[in-house]
Amino acid sequence: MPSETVSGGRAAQALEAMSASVESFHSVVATAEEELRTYSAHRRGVSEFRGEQALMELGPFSVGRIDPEKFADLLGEADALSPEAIHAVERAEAILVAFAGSDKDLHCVTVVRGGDLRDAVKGALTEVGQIFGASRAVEMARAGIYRPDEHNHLLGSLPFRQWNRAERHLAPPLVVEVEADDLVPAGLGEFLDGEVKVVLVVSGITAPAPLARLITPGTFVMQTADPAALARMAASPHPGVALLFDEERDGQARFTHDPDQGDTPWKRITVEHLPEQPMVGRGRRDPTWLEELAHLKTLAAPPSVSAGAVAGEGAEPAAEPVEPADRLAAWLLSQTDLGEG
Amino acid sequence: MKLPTVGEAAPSGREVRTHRVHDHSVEIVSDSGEGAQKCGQIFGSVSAKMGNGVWTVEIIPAEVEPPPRNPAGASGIRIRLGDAEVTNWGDETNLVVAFNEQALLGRHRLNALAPDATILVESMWATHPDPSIRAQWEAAMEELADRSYRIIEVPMEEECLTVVDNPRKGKNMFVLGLLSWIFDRDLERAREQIAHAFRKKSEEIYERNVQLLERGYGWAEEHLDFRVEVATQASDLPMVVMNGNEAVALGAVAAGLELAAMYPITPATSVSHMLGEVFEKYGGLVHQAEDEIAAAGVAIGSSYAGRCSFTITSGPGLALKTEFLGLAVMAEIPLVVVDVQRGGPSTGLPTKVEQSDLLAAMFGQPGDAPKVIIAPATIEECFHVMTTARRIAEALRTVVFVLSDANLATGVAPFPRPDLSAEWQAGPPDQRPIPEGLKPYSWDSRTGISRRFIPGQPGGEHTLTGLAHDEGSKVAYDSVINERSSAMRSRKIAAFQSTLLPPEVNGDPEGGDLLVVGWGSTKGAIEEAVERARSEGLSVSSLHLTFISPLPPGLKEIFQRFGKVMTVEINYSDKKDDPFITEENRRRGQLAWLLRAATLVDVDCWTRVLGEPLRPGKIVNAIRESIRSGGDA
Repeated sequence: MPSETVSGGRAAQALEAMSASVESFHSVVATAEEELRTYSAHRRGVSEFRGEQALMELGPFSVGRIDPEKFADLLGEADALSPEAIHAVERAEAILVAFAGSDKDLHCVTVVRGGDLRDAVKGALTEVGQIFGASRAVEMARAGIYRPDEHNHLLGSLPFRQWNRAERHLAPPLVVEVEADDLVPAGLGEFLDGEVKVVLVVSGITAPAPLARLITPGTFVMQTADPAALARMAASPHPGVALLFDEERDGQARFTHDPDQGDTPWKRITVEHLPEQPMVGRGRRDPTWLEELAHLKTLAAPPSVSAGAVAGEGAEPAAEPVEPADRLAAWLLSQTDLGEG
Repeated sequence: MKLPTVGEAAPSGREVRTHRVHDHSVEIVSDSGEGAQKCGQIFGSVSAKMGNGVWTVEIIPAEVEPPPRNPAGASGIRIRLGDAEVTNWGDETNLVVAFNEQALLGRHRLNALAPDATILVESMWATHPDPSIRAQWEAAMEELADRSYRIIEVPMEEECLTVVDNPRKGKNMFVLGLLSWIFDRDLERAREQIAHAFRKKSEEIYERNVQLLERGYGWAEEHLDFRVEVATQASDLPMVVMNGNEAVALGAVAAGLELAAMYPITPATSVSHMLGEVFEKYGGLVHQAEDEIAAAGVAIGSSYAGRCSFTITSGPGLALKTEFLGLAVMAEIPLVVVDVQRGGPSTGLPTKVEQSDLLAAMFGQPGDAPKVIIAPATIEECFHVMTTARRIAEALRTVVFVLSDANLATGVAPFPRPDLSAEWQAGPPDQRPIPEGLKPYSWDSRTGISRRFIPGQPGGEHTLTGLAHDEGSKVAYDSVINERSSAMRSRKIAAFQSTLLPPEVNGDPEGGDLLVVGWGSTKGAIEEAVERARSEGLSVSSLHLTFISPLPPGLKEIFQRFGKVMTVEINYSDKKDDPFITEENRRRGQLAWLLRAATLVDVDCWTRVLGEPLRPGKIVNAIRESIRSGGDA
């Protein structure tokens, strides 16, 4: 459930590091609320201020060039909104005013012990979705296509799956406090779109690289114990997820995957610390956490011309990165067994 | 061979003279790909942010990568700085930084340099191992000796090699350092601007460029004996610095346009580059179509579907879009067309400025295809025009042309940060059910305007057609119907013209000997020329048109207050004393054609197609000549 206040010191630090994104989102909400108030004021007095409205719509270039009163006369009276549309606009305005004036913290979420991380994030985003739903309802009302039976849901909560592309780019950052035992980040993948940013402030000992499986070419992924490092994710134009440890531990990987750093995984991934990968008994299936660690190591290592390294047989990576085509050629040679000896 | 310095003595000693001037023009010229333009853009931005008036013009060769060390292939940028607002590129360059003497020679041969210009030139060519290059250097120096230039050798390559392995990728930042010392630019601002320019590059590249900047600054401090002071004046208003294409792109975002469909074409392409970076974030979409025709089709389709769309092009692309633009006019689909004009006809001069497309925009379609044509005159107007264009296109259900040009497209100038308004983003189109009896072209007989139908709107079902049609969009077999629909499409433009205000006269509105009329990007040069001519006592004023279709009211009455009226344009016209040219067969500047037809006033013209912006000094000469000769320019 979303919390009312930032409870932990690290969560506050994380939020501080994400402050640019937070301010940007609040600015969007305030602007939307102001725009709607202006629109409502004009709607109420539309016939008195038609010239003024025309001037604003034509923009500064028209000043001294177009007579706005005459332009408005040319277009005639705009049709009034229907009672249903007016009602929708008023409800939407109330929602936006409430969000803009509320002290409620939209950015912090706490996963109760034993709770579901995915559900917590989903719930927080759904609540924020009210802002987007209200904005959409206004647009539909203005266009004359708002039908209460079909569109009233927009004036409630709007789940993330119904957010459009622009809304996903405007998404506010979320700081989620979660116990290590409840850290199951795989379910977050569906939310990592647009510019959604999620910071997981974790308490306790986690698996070494739980976020490794969320690495995709266009997703910013970070594991760190330094809250200040999160500012880099805040500035990224990509969706992102970060894990903020409560302390640096040898058994936990610290790394950054920044989509802007290159076109190959090993260029995009910067590893600050990688735990030793323990051996597991022959024939036993690797535990998930070991697979995640191996996955991270594989992605972060430059390819080697050594077929053995490609095939995962433990050879050291080559000192110099090589072209993917060379890597493929090396692998093919290893499969055809044409090598000497 | 040591360079024979021409003019004043070569710099020596450490006595530094500072020249205080109101206005100074700098050129950086190189082979293509050496980054002279990036250097100039950063220098211009830093200067603007420090409070100088700035206007930059890029010098772009006709070929993408011409042979190196070629006078015809000079690539670079001119930056004009002033202690007040600068509105054009000026006349001649006072200070040149040349990466090789051949690029310098190209500019010299175009008379781009002031006779007493100071030249900083890369010294390595004088002692190059290749004897043919040394011979070229010597020949160039001999040719340059015709003027009183002051030439100073700078070991750019040698200095850059202390920082980078490939000086070709570093000289520009070294030169930025030279200029920063000469003009006393704030190095911290320069570093910030470098960081911005290389924001997509690694930290290492940024650091290296800063090292080069500092190296250039240090070299200048140690070796040069002159500085130039153009007083800065910090603005009370927050300012932004951008070029015209960036301004069009950001203006489109601010105007709430939703789709840009384009096909790459010089010099318009960078509009879509800018949009590509920011448009999606604001809910817009850039669509690069398979060709110019398809781009127009996508924009028209999107607008028909209820979005607000625009297409971006230049002369040859405009030619290809001709048929589709006719469809937009005939079907009354709102559309904004941004045409960044270049030299024509055909592929013409892709990288050079020309006000080439006015008549093509106006009359490009068969039959009568009335549209609105707007020509922004400044980079700031390139931003704001998009809101106005969108609103007119949607209100009148018509095609609105925005005629920019290569001068505005690549020129960089500061202007007050726009105070954005949500009202610029007009509300969504009315999609309520269509009242019974209302048809897709139920024209208001007085204004010619009809309600826009959106596909899917209950009660609005109709067949869209480019054939002549009646109010219900049914193909018209009755010739009377074609007459009426043509009249309605034309009447919209007349009705809109009734909302336009008469243009202001710059100078003496009461009248005088000569009225100079311009349009588009020439405003700054014309008004500077008129001011100079008036200071000489000449009775001349100017008038600048931004709405060209329809023309604003009152022009004939204004023209009649002046002894003569002459357009100044960057397009072709026959000169009166050319062979075979008579009053009847003389082909005039494009605006002159229109004004003569619209006002029946004997409007003369002075035009040039040199592939460069007009110089105020040349316009002053034309004004003098026009007044002296009784109208013959």
